[in-house]
Amino acid sequence: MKATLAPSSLISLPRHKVSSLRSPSLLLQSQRPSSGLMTTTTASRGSVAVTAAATSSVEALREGIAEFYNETSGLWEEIWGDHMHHGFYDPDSSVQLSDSGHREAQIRMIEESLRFAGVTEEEKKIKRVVDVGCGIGGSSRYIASKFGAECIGITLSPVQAKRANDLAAAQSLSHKVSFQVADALEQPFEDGIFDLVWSMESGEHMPDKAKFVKELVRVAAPGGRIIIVTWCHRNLSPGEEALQPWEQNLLDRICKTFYLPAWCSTSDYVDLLQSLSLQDIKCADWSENVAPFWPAVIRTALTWKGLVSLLRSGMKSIKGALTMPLMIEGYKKGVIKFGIITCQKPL
Amino acid sequence: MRLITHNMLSCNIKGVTNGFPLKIEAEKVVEKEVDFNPDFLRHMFAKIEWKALVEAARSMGYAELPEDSPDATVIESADETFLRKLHHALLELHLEEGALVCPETGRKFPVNKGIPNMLLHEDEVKQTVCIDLRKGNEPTRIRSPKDRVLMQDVCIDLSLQVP
Repeated sequence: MKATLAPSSLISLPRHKVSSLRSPSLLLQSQRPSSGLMTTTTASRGSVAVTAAATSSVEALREGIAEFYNETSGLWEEIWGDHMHHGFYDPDSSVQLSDSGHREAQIRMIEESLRFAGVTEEEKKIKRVVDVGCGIGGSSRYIASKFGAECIGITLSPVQAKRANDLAAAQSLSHKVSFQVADALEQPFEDGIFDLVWSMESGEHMPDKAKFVKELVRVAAPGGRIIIVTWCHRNLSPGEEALQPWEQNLLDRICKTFYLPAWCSTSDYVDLLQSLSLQDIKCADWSENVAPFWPAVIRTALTWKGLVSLLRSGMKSIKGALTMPLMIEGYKKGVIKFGIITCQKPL
Repeated sequence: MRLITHNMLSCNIKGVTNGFPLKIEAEKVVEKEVDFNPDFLRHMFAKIEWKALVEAARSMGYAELPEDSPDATVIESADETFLRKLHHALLELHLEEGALVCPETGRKFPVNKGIPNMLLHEDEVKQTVCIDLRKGNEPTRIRSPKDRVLMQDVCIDLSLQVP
């Protein structure tokens, strides 16, 4: 996740405020004048129907995400460096880590994800990689170096793309990595060109999980691997149709500030991949392995440097920082899970 | 934007079947030196769409690449003349300002400060729908796994893409 020092969001959904975006399941009726489709709405079991206003709210969401990261990426980079994702820690590690300890944990997150997906044994086969939701390119540069592969990253934020390219140039990696402004839901690539499809903490921002997964699968090469690391809510029990109201309420408060359109569970991702006939689908709950992260982010926010930067950054960041304890509460109460889902596209 | 990147980009507007390769309208091209790395070039060569690269290089003012893709012996040989040309075209030419143009629709994707903006407008975007049998076969948009589960008994064809 491009979790900045204050992973904040717009305080309210812009203009087309659509309450159903917080519902885990929703039905959207398509309203395209050119094809003359109907516009009646349907509600079913806990889902709320939305009108065409929602489709333009998706554009508004996209703009909002871009603006947010345009403004806050620099702040995150100053304090935490170029990896905008959780660190991977040994469970129950009570040792308070130094800054460099946390940076190592962030690198370890990349390595553990690759290993979980079974990628490390296939190094020679990896020639092209896509980093979906690339931030300022930390993962891309790391993976491109590791495999000697070509890596292309996409982000909604032009500021992030520029910074990512500048960092690549500074590290003499420009020949291997490049970054563009593009939408993960409409990836500007031909089918089947990437040996590795990487999505590190960007899934949370996708308003349409089904479409997001479809695009990841589309651009993966036959035999290629897909790695999704993302914030989820807990799996629902059999017969359970939705989260408990208090759980939904907690997530809603986080969505508001962190600019997340919707949550789903790890098993929802597994279902989507199964429906698209992917093979070797694996998933895991790494919540225990990321537990030290948010407390560490809060600690850095409370340092002299952190406070000054926050104040300089403005209200969005400050409100976001005040919401970070909700993430800790979510994890502690088992509502929020840090999930990894990986699979392979059949040959 | 370098041509190694251009070689992967395509137009994803709904209904477009021939979105690759994007034509280049070059307003500002800059040459930036990059260390020559023959092993990397050899590693990547098989993945390059050759004709697309030749045409793109020409649009950027470089016409030294052969029309036809050379065979493996040329790539593997110790004579690095060809590899140096490939290196220059693929990695050292930058499109700083200009546009990438969809070959089918003519739609222009702007390139500013070396970064292409490939974002589609709302009306260029595909929808994933199912056909709702209860509603006289109306397409209903599927946005989440739960939608799919809710709709699967009343829908057919859960993977249509419609305009």
